[in-house]
Amino acid sequence: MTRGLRPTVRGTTLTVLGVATLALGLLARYPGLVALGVAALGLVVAALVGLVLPAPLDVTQRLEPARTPRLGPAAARVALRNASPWLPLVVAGTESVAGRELPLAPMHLAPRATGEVEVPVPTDRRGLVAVGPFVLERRGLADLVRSRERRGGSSTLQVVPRLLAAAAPPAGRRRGHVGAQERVEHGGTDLVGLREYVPGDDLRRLHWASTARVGTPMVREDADPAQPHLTVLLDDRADAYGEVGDGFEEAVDAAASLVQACAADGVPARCVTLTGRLDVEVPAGVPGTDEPLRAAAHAVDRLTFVAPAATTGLDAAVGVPPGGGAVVDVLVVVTGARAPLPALLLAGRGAATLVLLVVDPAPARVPAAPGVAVTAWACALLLLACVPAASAFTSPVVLAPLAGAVLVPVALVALARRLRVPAWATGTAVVALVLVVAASVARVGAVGPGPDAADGADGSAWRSTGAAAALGPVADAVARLLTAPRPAAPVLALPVVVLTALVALGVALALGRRAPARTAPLVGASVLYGAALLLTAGAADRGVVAVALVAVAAAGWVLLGGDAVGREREAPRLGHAARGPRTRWRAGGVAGLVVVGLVAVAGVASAGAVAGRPFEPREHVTPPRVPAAAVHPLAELSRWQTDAGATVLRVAGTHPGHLTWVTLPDFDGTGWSADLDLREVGTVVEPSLAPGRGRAPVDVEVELVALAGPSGSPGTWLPSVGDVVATTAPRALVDVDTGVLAVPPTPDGRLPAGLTYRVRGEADAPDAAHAAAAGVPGGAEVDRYLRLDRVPADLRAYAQDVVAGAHSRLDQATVLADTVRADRELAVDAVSGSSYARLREFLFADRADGGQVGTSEQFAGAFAVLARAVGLPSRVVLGFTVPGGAAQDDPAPRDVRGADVRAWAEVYLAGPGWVRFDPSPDAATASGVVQDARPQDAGTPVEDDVPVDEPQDAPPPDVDGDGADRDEATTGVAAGVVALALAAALVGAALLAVAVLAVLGALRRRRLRAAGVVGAWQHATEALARRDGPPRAAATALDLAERITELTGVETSAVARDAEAVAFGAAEVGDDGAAWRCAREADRRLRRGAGPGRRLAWWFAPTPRGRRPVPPGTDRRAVSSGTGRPAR
Amino acid sequence: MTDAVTTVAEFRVLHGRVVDAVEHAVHGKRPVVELVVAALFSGGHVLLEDVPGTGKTTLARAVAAALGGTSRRIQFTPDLLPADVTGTSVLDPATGEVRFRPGPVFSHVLLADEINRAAAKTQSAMLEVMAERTVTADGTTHTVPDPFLVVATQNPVDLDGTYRLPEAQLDRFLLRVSLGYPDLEHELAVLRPGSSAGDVGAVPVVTSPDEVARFVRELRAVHVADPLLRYVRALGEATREDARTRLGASTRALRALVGAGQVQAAAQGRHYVVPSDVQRVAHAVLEHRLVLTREAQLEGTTAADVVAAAVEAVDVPRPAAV
Repeated sequence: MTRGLRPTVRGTTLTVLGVATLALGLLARYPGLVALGVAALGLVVAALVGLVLPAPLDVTQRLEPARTPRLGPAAARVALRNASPWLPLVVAGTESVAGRELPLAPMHLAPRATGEVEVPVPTDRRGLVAVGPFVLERRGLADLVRSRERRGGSSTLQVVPRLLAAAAPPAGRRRGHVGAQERVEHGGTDLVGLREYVPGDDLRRLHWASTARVGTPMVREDADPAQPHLTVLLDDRADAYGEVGDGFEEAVDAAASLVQACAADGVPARCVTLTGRLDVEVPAGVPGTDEPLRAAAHAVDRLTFVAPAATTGLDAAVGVPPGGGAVVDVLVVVTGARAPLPALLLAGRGAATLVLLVVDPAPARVPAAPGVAVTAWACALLLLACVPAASAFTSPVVLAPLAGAVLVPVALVALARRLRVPAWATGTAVVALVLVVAASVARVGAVGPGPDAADGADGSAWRSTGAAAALGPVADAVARLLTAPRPAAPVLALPVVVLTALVALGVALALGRRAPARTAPLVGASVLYGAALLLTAGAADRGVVAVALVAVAAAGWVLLGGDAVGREREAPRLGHAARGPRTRWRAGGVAGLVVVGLVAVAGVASAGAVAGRPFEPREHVTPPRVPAAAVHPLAELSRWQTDAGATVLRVAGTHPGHLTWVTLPDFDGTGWSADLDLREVGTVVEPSLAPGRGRAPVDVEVELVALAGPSGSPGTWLPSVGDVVATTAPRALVDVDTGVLAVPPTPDGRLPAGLTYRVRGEADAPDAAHAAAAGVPGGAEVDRYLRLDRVPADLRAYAQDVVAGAHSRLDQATVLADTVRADRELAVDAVSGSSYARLREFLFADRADGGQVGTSEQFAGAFAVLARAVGLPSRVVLGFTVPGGAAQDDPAPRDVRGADVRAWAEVYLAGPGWVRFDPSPDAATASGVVQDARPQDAGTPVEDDVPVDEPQDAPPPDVDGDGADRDEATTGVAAGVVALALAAALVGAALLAVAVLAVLGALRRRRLRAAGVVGAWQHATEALARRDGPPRAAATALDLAERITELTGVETSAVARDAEAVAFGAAEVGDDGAAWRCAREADRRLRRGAGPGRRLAWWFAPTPRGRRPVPPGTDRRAVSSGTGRPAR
Repeated sequence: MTDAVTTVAEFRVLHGRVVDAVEHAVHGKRPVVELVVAALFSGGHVLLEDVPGTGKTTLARAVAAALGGTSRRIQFTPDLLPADVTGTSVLDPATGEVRFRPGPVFSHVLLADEINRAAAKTQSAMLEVMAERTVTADGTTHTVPDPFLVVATQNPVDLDGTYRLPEAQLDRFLLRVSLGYPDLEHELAVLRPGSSAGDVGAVPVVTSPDEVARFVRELRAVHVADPLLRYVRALGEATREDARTRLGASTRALRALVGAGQVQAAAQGRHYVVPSDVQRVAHAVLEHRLVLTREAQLEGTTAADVVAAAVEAVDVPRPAAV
């Protein structure tokens, strides 16, 4: 006995797929891919575990008969015995026949039961056929892993040529060879020789004259002049026969049949092969006697081992067959369809009669197409994998073209297969069709922003000619999709549709091949699924669809059978499945269902453990930039402040009490400016500085009043708040670093009059506790906000003096704001400007010299410069304060007037994000920090804060000032989450198992109910077994009924008798309903009397097996199907 | 089906009548009487084995009386010759012809008292007539009446001067039953003066040989389901595989078991056999056919132990729907 454990192609593919998706999922931090990988690997592990124990199986086999004619019946009987006393066994395997492995249908063996499979031995070729050994093939879950063990011995079958019903050449047609040329119609006797008498010779044949002459008894040797002499010339050259079919085999059959027919009629015959390797004679004899038949049998035996020779040419064939002097009367040449016939005709020139038999076998059969169920399964997998892709688009309508992209190629391939178009031609045609359709659609439907013209100029040389030019729009569609806002418009789904169609085509073509693994659908589905995750940066699925994919694939493999979808095409299955499909499903399916459920739970749980920022492919594709007119908006500040009563705009909804008009992050010493990077709203671009940890939602509706129109402010900035996620403003653009919203410039360079739009997004909402403890980040990202070219020394010294006593960054900013605000006057008519000179004048000069007075621009600008001087990243914001402050779902529009237009500053702190500071004396709130959360000890120094004058040494932007503590806390929380998830998974798995068992139990009860009185009785006995344990072997139905009555008081003996009558006597019994009610009552009382544990598990406990009521050697079917009743 | 049901219904009544009739003479042994009557209607022979004075001969005679046909009795002795049993050819001086004079076996019920006292060749003469129901004398085969029931008795205690019955002959007995002593109540009733116990003359004739022969034929049609046949086969195999037996139940034994089971079922009014029918007759049918090993005999094991173990060990087929 040899053992071999090996993964199947399917298992290997699934393992590779699992490892690959797991690795990619962990690398890209896609929970869906991780779930897919874990589920796939979990299935493989479950399959491996199932094959570890050896199978308790005894195998014996015998061959019947040992010799058979070609195409005659021959069978090996493989007896399989389950040696285990308690374990039922599902036996599948292959019987080695003539070097081929013939699969046997799975057989279900009860403990100690014996089954027999009749393996028909193919007898289509002559010679010796080795039969055996039996190879026990065990398959793990879904045929992912197999083990092979050789069991039993082997034997040999001799396949001899088939003897067809042939007649010997008719007598009386031959010309007499002695003298006369006349036809001898009725036979006769020609003396052809004399020989000495041997005992046994007929005395009447003594030739007395010669005897007298010689002195020794001499016997006549006569020849029948009417007796034909047949010579069969068998063409045994391989090239005379085609490579397909059994041409040579049939030729040998014909030759053997002729020889045998001659022997049966006592006609002499001779069989010669064309290459001369065989030359046997069958002498003439009395018809029906043994001698010629023995000779014929010998000839047939010799013919058994004649093989086609590789000889070419006709040298040996031409002329009378070798054999020297033999009579050639009738010559039959048996040859194949490819033999050169004219030359062979010459071979018969020495014969009186020539017959040329040309064997032309039927062509080989065309391989069958995969079944509808398999195709439907594959389509379902692909369609399921397409579902996550829908979340990458604004409308689920995109699923329709995706479904079409799955179904159309599959249908085309099926049609082509029916029309017998070769697969390569189908593939090429469908690929071409897909590309042509895609190119047409791309050309017609190319909308939205395309790649930059400059990029196109550099990289478009390849598309200047031929097909590349035609496919250019298709390639552009990919770039267009990847740079489009997310979710994208459905019209941009073209690349996904093309990919889906190509994958579906590949899967459909792979299904047509005879690959037994059937992994193509899952691989294709994984590709589509991965593409969907890439499109959505892993957000499309948290693992649910992934495990569903694996579950559907496994279900297909199990239900459609590794065999139904695969090997059935290769060879017929032998034997008969011992149980029907339903019971097979019950036995194998329940375990499989539980395993798949566990794997699914593990997959989803592992997906929950994936943390971190997922891989975003769009970050590696530069989205198109939209140029926008940069009009300096600060000049508008004084205009609106002088026109203080004008209603600039109206605001309603949820907002923090102020709107940003434009953010000015850049300072060059002469003034503030904004170098913005405007892109479409929704385009995936990460801001250079991480958003704050605390975020507040913003959902505001803005109506532009005086701000827009011909008399409004120049420029196309739209008031907004925070980071914009979505807006109803048409063709709006956004700068992700500053959150500035804009629309493309109008001809007059102003906003369209009466524009009303809605903005949704999030804004940093720093709380005091975190802000007080926060540091500032370092690195290149903050350089923009710290830039102070040639800052005057007195400004820097002033700033450092001011913050000298401050303990935290927040305190520094607060002290700076307080200092700027103190003793200074806000005047709407003050001199504008933010240059160093203007700020020094504002800060240091006397009031008489124009100092100490400024607009909010000077207050904000001075604060921002001083903040930068002490290492606080800062920027100036021009915006609007909303009267009434922050609002939550405020439906009433509030008027924002000219006086509410003002400038303020923002400081970036690691963690809280941008914190608003308004250093103007009339500011409603001095800073954007939520004060009520501020801790009492906010003044204590921050340990890991960085020195004020060394901002570059500060922690990187994405690390908190107190990173170590937070990391620890985060790790602890993550571990807790994982543990929680695992516990939840375990509980879920247990609940799932309980639910499955309960459902199975309910189904079983339903089947029992439908089975009449026998079902009722079984219900009662199963209840008894749950209460008492399995009954003793010898207990009859009446014994059990007595026990039930003893325990419950319910009289069940009538039910038992009726059940026996039905089971053993094929009798009709009365009221099934009464029997069932009785059984239910017994069940109820038995449950009531059982212990608490048994009562709890009563409804979902597995059916008590124990000692099944089957005598040894009984086929389990007999009992499970009603104990073998006689036919009615 | 209807015919079988009718037959069974008739038989149930008849069976009850026969048992009741026999009970006129044999008190307190209804189960044994039922078994013997069952054997009668299975067309088999019965071996009554018990110590003297327990009513063996009474039972046999009562059964013969209830049957109403001819019954003969042979007291087997060591000098009994085969011809004394089967009959012999004699010269009829009147006609001057050699004529076959039938022996006692030419009757419906043959009481073979103390059968183990006869010599081997006399016992072997019984073999043919028990199995073949024919007697061959002087080359001529004579058929015994139908039905033909041998009720033999033997004494298991007093073994001096006896010839142990060969296995082949034991196998031809359908049943072997022991009567045992009656219980207190019945023994008192037997002892009470005026009791009809042992009075075979009081046994009414309740049936006829023809009726018995008809039921023997028709009860063969009682349905035996396939699982039951497997069950019977498994019981037989269990006795064969038992390490304590040198010889297990033969196929003839299992056939007998099925037949006895059929009659048991019919006696209960069923036209089909259930496992308890088989279990009820298993001991009586199988025990006397088993040959134990010497070791087992020395250990005190009896054939009853082996049969009981087999019945306990083999799974009973029970009705099951799914």
